[in-house]
Amino acid sequence: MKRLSTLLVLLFLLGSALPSLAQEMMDYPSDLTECEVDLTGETINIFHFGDLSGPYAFITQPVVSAVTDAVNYWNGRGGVCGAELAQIYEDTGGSREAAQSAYDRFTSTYGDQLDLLLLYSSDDGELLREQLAADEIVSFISAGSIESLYGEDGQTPGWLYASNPLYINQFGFFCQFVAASPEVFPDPVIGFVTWPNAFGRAGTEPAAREYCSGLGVEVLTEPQFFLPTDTDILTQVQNAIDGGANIIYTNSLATGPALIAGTLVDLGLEEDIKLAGVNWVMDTTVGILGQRVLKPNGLPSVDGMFGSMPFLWWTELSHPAVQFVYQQFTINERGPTEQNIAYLVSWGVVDSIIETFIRTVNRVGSLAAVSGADIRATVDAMDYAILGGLMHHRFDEGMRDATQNRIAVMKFANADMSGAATGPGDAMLVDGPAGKMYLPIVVPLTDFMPVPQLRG
Amino acid sequence: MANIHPAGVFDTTYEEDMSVDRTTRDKLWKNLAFAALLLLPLVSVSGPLGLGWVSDQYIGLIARISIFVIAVQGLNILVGYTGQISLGHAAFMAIGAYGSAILARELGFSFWTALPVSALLTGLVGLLFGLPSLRVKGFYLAMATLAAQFIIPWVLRYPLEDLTGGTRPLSVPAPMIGPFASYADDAIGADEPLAFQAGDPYFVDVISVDLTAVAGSYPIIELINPAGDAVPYGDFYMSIAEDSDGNITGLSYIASKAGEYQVLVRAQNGGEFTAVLRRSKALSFATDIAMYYIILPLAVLLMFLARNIIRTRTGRAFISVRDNDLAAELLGINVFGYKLRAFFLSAVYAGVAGCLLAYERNSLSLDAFQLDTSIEMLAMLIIGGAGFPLGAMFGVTFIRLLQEAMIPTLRPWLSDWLPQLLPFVDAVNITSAINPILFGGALIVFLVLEPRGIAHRWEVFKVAWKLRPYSY
Repeated sequence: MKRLSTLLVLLFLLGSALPSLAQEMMDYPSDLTECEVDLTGETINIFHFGDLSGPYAFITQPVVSAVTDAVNYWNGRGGVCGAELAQIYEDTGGSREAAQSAYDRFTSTYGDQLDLLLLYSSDDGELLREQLAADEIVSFISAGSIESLYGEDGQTPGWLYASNPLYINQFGFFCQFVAASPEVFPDPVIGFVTWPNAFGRAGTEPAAREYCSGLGVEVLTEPQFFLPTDTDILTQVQNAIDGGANIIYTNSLATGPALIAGTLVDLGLEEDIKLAGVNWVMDTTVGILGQRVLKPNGLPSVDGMFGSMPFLWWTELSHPAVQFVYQQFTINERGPTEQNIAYLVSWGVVDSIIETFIRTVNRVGSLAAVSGADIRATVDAMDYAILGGLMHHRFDEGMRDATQNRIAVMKFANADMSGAATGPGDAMLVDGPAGKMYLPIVVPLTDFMPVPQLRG
Repeated sequence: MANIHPAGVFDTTYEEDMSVDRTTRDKLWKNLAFAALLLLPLVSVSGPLGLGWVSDQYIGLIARISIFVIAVQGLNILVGYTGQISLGHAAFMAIGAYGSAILARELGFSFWTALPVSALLTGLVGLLFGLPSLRVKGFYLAMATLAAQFIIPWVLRYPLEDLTGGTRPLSVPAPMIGPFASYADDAIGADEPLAFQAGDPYFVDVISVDLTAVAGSYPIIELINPAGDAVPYGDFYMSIAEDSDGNITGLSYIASKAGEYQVLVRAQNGGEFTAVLRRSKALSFATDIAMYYIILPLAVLLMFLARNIIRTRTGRAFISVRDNDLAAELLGINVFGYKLRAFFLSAVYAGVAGCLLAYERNSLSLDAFQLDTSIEMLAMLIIGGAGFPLGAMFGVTFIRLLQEAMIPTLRPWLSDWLPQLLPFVDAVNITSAINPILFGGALIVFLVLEPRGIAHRWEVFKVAWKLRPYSY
């Protein structure tokens, strides 16, 4: 953890040296709907709970920081339509029992105030899907499973709305990319090496296999599973390769992708076998953890790993949304460990919550009159560029997940920050407690494009 | 602990000697406590009286405690009464949970039949995994039962994936009584939406559309819910009737949401049809409060039965096997037979608990039945008092209150204070660390200071109270 923190401090310092940002305070980048109702003296609560500690803490902790900063930003400017923003959250440590208990506590304590809830994990989404529908509470989640968003039959839209495309659709989109890049992926055969939970298994469904097969991309029928706590997955990786895979796809995060990449290097197959994954593999954390094993060319094992990128990234500083979040990150003197996906996306989620409340209150006339059903009606009709383009919320025609995605590749910055390093010789190296470290960057390879709909 | 009576109370008949509640006061206190628990939901925030004296979260908490009391009581029969060990109790719960869910989903069993059938099924599987107790005991038996904890979830996850959904969640229907006789029949005209009001959390409307069409006309039935959405045919609460050609001839649906529904039958190909909308009422147990009234009485009943087992020949045989199996065998007790009975009973209790857990949550996941749950239940029993009828209740209540009431209260304070006191503590992960630390700490404290558990301390306290002022 110390090693990681130190490196991220350096990353943060490097980030400060990136192309100059305007020093004066930027305008809020969103085109928010104008308030028609004065809410002075009232409070809009942002409710959220999930696994803030435990194995996912790397990714989830910055959620609280981002929401705190966003709340302070708005309250410092007179609130939203005059209403003060507040956040009410709880850490469930990744336990289903704790999640159920937190949900019971929230619903019994806040009753009618709880119309919109932010969740993090697919497991929590699946656990609470029916309860949210029964209690008429809308939930925003980063990326849910088919079952949490659309029910067992994949056809029953519920009360959860995801900011990212379904994982199965992300996988289908990756197959499109593979099929369109025969020079990079000749005779592609994809094998899953993934976590065994709801998140990890997404994309292993027959529908995804059939779709990819139709594109000329074979997918092995038997996924290989490993636990987030595993430290040796040689057998799983070897099984996938023995099955014929020349691309390994993973639905895991933090240590998961780094472990697979390291194993490929250990096997001497880092050039022959490509590694790819869901949007969470494209995180700074993976770029850091992937440096525990270096390739023979001297670059970290995760160099060249492909992944989904359905939102803008920290390095896309030409976009006002990223500039704005980056400025807030700097002003609030956030710790370097927080400059990740969660901090960036959480600002966007708060923006979408604000827009949702403004539209709903404008329609129903007061904050007290807002119900979960009203929020749902607003979200169903929403077509909104979050923070002016960081992400997009559009959930019409029964959709509950995002429909646009792009593919990116993880690289490491070269010495003058003008592009990706080709080896240790031209890489940007910084001092860390365990020696020199590389600076991970995420390079988008495609534009935003519609994902295939594979939920059946 | 000897059965001590208050001063002046003497047993003069066999019935008095055998009575569970020897004095009227004992009986009164128990009945009052049970009545108070039964009344609790009525005065809760969502209760029908609207008094709001008790937060709804405590209704859910008591229900969850009751479910685990049943499971741990099963473990008590095996571990506490009979002296056998099991590290696969959560897996047995999984069989009860998935068994009842599959019976309901695939074979149309009601909750009331799925519960005993799945419990019996779990008992039979328990017998199977009890077979090694013929040859091994102690540590080796623990390893044998540990096999159940790995094999059963694997079987549910992979070979039975089509039925269980594997790692995906499995929805479970709410228990229901009914539907009763139809109270309204309305003819549906072609392309004319028929609107009706439905929805009550307790007395839900079960609607059915019966369709008779001229061959080749294939009418389409649409059901619109109060939110204005068309209910898909794959909806969990809808069942479809089809003819031999696969044409839909009717549907039934549980309309639990309050509001206006609409039924529309569209004629196709100019064909004619007759369609009737039938509505009937059913008593639903979908709400937490309604489930509470299934779970709590069942927990009390099973506690009572477990309490009485040790007063029977079977119970005395269990205890003799626990205390000295060699001596028990010399006395003519079929040790293996009684061990198997203990495994069977223990698994039946686990099956009931698993079934209740599935129906209480309306959703099942294998994550709820992992090894850590088995170990946690064993720890609950040790803390509560293995071998005491009330041990399960004390252990589960203590741990659940610790996890769901005490830890959330302590969390903010510990998050501020602990990193200052112990600099090596990672402030980020305090929350996830509090639970295992307090759980492990409680276990150590009890093993060292009160190895016979809270129930033993309770018995000591009771005796002291009855013998006052001469309790010494």
